[in-house]
Amino acid sequence: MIFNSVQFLIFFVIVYSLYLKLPHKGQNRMLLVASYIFYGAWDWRFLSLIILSTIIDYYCGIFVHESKEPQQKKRFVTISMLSNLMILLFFKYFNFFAANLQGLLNVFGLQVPSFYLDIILPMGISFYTFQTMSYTIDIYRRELKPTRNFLDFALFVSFYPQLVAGPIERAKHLLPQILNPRKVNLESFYEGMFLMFWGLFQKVVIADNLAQIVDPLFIKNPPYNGVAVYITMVAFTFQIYCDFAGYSNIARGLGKVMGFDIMINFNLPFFVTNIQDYWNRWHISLSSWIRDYLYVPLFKYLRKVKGQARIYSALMISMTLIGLWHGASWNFVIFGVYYGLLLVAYVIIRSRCHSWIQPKSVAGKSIWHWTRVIFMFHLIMIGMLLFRVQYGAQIYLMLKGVFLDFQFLPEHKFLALKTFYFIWILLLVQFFQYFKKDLLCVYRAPFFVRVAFYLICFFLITIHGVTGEKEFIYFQF
Amino acid sequence: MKKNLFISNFKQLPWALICSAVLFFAVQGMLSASEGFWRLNYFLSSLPTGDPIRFESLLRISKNDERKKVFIIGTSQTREGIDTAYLNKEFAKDDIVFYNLGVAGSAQPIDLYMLKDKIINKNPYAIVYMPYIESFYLEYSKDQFIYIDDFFHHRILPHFFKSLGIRETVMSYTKPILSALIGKTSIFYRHRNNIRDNIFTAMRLALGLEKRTEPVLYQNFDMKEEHYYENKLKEYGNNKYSSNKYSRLNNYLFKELINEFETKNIPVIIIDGPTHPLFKKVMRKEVGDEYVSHLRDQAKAQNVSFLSLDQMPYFPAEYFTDMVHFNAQGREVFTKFISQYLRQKLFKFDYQNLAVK
Repeated sequence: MIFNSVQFLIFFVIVYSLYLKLPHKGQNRMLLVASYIFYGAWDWRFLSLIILSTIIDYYCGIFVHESKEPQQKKRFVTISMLSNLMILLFFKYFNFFAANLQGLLNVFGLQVPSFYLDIILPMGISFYTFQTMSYTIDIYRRELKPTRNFLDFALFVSFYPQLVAGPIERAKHLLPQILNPRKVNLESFYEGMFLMFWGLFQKVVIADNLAQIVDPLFIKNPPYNGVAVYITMVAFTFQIYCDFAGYSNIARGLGKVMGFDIMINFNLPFFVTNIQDYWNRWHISLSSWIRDYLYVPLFKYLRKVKGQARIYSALMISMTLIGLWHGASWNFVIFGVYYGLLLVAYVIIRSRCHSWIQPKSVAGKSIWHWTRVIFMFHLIMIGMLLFRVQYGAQIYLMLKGVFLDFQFLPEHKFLALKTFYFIWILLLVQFFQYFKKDLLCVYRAPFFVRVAFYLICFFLITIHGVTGEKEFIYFQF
Repeated sequence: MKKNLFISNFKQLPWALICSAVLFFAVQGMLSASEGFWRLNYFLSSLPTGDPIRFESLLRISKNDERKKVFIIGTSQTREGIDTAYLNKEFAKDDIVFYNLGVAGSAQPIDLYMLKDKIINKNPYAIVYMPYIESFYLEYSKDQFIYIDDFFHHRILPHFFKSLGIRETVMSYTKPILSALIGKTSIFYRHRNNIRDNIFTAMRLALGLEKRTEPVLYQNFDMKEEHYYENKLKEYGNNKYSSNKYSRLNNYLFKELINEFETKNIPVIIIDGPTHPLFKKVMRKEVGDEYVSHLRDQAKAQNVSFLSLDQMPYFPAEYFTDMVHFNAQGREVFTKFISQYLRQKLFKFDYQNLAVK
């Protein structure tokens, strides 16, 4: 059951009607059942994994909290971490590591049989395992007290709006909202509905139509024309943004109408002037998770490494694992390494060149600012290319096309215009959000602006809305 | 929540959303009533996907045409085989204008039955219906035909219930019918696929990447190679088409339609659509015979002009692109022949007696 389906609409209407009728405790029980139905509709067998993860972390949380001895605390937090990671490693990475190990052994002349397992990747496994791990770690760090209500904790793990593609919520943010009665008012209802509307628009109009521009090039055999690759990179950058940010907006909207405040996952990531800022604005729930639970501990752990190398090492390891989190494939590893290198480069440049690249005049500052935004966008596009390629060599072949075969053919005018046709409204909204410094500025815009906005959206949804329930890209992670 | 229900507080209704929804439908109403919108869409429509909007555009445009309108209805065979530019030139002095309403699909009487009001309302001078065996003997399918999605009319439901049963009707047609009902409230929705294509065509025209082409597709294609026909013969043997519940319903509705057109004083001329000489070999002979004899009997019983294949000249394989579609050469020859036949029929109309003279 996906958000852009009729089944989900029916499901939501039923769940929401019940939600409004029930008292707090009843709401939580009903939401838990609804969340299991939501997940089970995809494949009920994998509900057992969520329940297993829930049981382990619920009890580990309590044991970590109640253990007097630090060693004992460490033991329970390790059990929690290992069990979640084992689930993740087995279902998501087993075949990847097995195939690579086999390849490696073959290189050394050791002929070993293939040990490929026919494993189905459970939807959203990377999201809910990370969410539950953060719960136990926060208790271990004494930042959170464990809940004694198993069913409420189970709802925290499986809350359907953000279960399969995030945002990866922190227990200290979401759990209190589950444990305490929530207020549903008209303002939050409208805000939530607006977020759902805009998220759905991003998905079915922008992302799914851009996919039709993007997919043919990646299926095509080389050689690749540079202009076509460039336009496709732009299209894919916006496609994946709208696909994922669209999902996050729908999730936030679903939460909001029920009185939940789900964290912001994307905050204008294409308006950044440096790569560090980009990761503070793109998939915020993952990057902040990695920062808090991997980068910071790793940085502390690497105290024997002297000087800046300590930061670089922590950054490289963290970003490589972010890449690997996205999928069991080498292009994701390269994706992570790429961003790791960019971050390292940024740290170096920031420490050495910051003082001499500072224009004085207002116009100069503005030009410098937008030049950096455009430059950053191009670096992000390369990252997206690494994310999207079908096979390793395709990265080289496509970039070769961009740098060595940048031939503008008449057909590219149409490709560019078509891409722009699908993204202009997003650009307009984003500029509006950027200058107003308000992600909900369209919702709060003057009456006639909103009328015009809805009218355009209605037209585009009716004409270009892609039906057929195309899945969200991040479901596979 | 109950205290805050927006229904209870008029001022808190989402007025911007409501206004835009009203405007959205108002704009569609205005566009729907304007000839310019339909002319633009006709101009931009391209084949093979643009048939539904082309069909509706032509019907809408024809409304304000004061000349004697002859609607030619049929399948892609009709669209490809009859050159209305030639006919219009030939019949200009007689103040007759032809509209080619051929649409990919099978143009079954089931479709025409749903469309009849739209046709009758345009006050045609005559209707030329060019079916071929598929129009009566192919199983009706929601995937195969555009009509039910675009032009569904509830009057077909009792006939579906009677012929197919309620269960099959519900199972097979609920989705297209629901879609069609939404389409009735919104032309943008009804023609969403075609308007989308038209927007992209407009872009390509504006960029000078293509030139506007007439809605004829097959005359630009090369003739199919030998193995195409061999494969078709192998695929179907001589077993294509059979009598089924749809063919019985089509036969019944065909009779009803002719009666209705007759009561409205709209003459009907039926022309059996010519096919490639090998086509006979793929269809079951008894069905082919049944089809022709049924049309002939019906035409005779209801005093309708019927032009059967045996009254036409032989159209050799060189005139076809594939099994059923004429190429440019075939289109020219067939249109000339039809022109003569129509001249004979259109000017011999006796509204009291429509029999072939």
